[in-house]
Amino acid sequence: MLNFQKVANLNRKKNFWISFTLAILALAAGSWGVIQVIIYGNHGSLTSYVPWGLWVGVYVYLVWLEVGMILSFFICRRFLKVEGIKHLGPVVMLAAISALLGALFAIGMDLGHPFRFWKAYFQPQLGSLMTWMIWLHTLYLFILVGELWAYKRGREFVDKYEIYLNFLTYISIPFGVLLIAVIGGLFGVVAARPFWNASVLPLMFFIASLIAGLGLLTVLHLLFSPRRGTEQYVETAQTLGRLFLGAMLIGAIASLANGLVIAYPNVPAYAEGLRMVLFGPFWWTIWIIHLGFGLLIPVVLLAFFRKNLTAIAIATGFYVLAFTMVPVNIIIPGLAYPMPAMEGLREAFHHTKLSFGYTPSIVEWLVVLFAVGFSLFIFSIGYRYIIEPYFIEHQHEFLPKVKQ
Amino acid sequence: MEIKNSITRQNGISVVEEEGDLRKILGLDDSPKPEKTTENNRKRFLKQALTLLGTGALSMSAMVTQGLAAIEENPDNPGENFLESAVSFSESELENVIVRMQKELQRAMQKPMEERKWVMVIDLRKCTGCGACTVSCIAENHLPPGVVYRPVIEEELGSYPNVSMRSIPRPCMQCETAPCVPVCPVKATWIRPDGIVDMDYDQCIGCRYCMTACPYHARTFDFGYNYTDNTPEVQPYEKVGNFEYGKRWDREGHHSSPVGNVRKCHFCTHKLDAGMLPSCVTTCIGYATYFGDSNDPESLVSELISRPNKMRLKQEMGTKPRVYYLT
Repeated sequence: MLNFQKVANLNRKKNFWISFTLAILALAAGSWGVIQVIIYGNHGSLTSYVPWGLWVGVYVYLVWLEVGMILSFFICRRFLKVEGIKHLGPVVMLAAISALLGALFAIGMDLGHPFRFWKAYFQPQLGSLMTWMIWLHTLYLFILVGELWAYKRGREFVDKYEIYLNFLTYISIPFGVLLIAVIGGLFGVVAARPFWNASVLPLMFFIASLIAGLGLLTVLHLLFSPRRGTEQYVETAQTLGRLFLGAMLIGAIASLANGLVIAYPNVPAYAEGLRMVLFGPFWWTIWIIHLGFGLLIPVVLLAFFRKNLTAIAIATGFYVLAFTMVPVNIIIPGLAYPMPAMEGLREAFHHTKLSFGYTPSIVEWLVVLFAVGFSLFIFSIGYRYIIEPYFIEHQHEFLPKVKQ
Repeated sequence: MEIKNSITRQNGISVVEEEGDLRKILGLDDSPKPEKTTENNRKRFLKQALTLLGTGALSMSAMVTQGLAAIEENPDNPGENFLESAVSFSESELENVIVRMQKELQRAMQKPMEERKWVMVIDLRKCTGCGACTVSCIAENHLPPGVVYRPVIEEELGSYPNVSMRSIPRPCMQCETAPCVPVCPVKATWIRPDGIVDMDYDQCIGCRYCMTACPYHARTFDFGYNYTDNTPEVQPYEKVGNFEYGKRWDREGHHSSPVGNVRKCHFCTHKLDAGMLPSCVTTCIGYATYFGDSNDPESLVSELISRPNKMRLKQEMGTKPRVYYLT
């Protein structure tokens, strides 16, 4: 079991080296997959009938984290007045930027012509939600970079630095909500895919984003808060743990309600996707990874060991990691069966790329590893050269004392 | 024995004599078999081969004789009478079907593009599921492995003993309200004024959103495969370009279109623009695929789509496909 005290006592330098080493290892291992994609155009196990898979799933997951972190940070700080979280601002911004860049990398690898991405900016179709997704994502990147810059250098260049920072924080909220809604809508509007085609999907994406983001926010607080070692730090962690438990349960109830709405009428076109999620070839990803490690264990830990920081760390960490399976289990089952009246396509023309079966290949996993490594690399470098100096400069604000 | 009785009852005629052969062919003959020897096998093989050759030669000679007679009768259009005599089509169906559609096509091409609306009609009663359209499409558009524009779906209906089968060719439906068009983030696909859903390979970024949006699975992705992959050398003929959308597209590598693009049936626009019918239409051995301008009230397709036995796939979705089926 993770010894939280050990983790909590790691100094920031150690944190940097751990994350940096992990990033380099992930980049080194994943580079083989990236080379396969860039040089040989290898698209793994994707087929013409299952055209989106692991990479799109990881993209959605990272966007959920990125936006959810900002939203939950804002809600905790402004509305719930969670004490001691304010100083986590630059860490949250950096983590969000890192997740965003990792997401863009993953989705870039998914494109058939990644070097034509600029066309979405200069020759866009405004009626496509994908256009809006790309634009909003780019805008969001600029907002986050602006916020991080404000934390780092703003005081030197901007007289009313607080106003500038607040302005960026406030505009990041509607754009974040819009980005999540657009991504949910991107799937929700596809009438051809009954499993996705639901008006509730953008809302479910929003809920998922908020919970996953709150989970990561708690992890960030536990690992990188400048107030580590103080009583305030422990109280904040416990508050976040309680909030997270509530959010998790709300999310579980919402998902259950959504699942029952699909399952009850048992219309094959809609229910087939759900059946594949629950009882298909990858049933274990939802039952064991998501519901077991990602829900049951965290709920038990947070319900019975709510004051134990180790328990909070394990619960939130497990949840965030296991949550990877959620977008993957929304995207792939929506595609992995023929649409009504098209069942005969399974046998109509044989080729591995004309199959409704999909299992992510090693190349796809390596690209995902590279994307995660890339995110971690950005985060560790940013932490070392932006956050660390910021914390040192502002340590007088982190009362009573910051443990080095 | 059950099969024999069944056949006899159903047809109401005696098939006892033929049935023995049929049962042998099907491997159902349970009568005592002579001991198999090499000599017996050889004799039987030679006998069967000679019978087959003889039958084939007779058929061919009959067809050639008929063909020559047809040329003598109608030197301007020998195929017309020859086919009429060889296949039991009615005169009106056969005489005009390809020639008529060709003439209609040329008539339609005289009009501005926005005044013609291309429509394909597939008669499911005539489709034999031979796959000639699929193959001709692959040949015409130089489709690589894993890319198919016109698969033929085989559908088995009913349960034993009341069973039947039908074949449903599935080209791109060229929907009037195509769900694949508005989702494209870079305007790489659009509906032409004549109704064909067009594409620009150089514009496509390969995001595949259109593929998820198509309710007919009519779009496939070019993953860059070649038929001679994993051999000492990818053969040069695999790299020779096609002429889709009126432009030559060589397969030069993984970063050059059409590799990395979404691809789909386009009613052979490159042929249409040259006044020719799509490949699947002209190669259909059963004359089951018709093509023409639905804005022309005298066109064959206009007649066909006014029939009550027409249907379109997934009509309930309101995509208004331009491919009709006769059932």
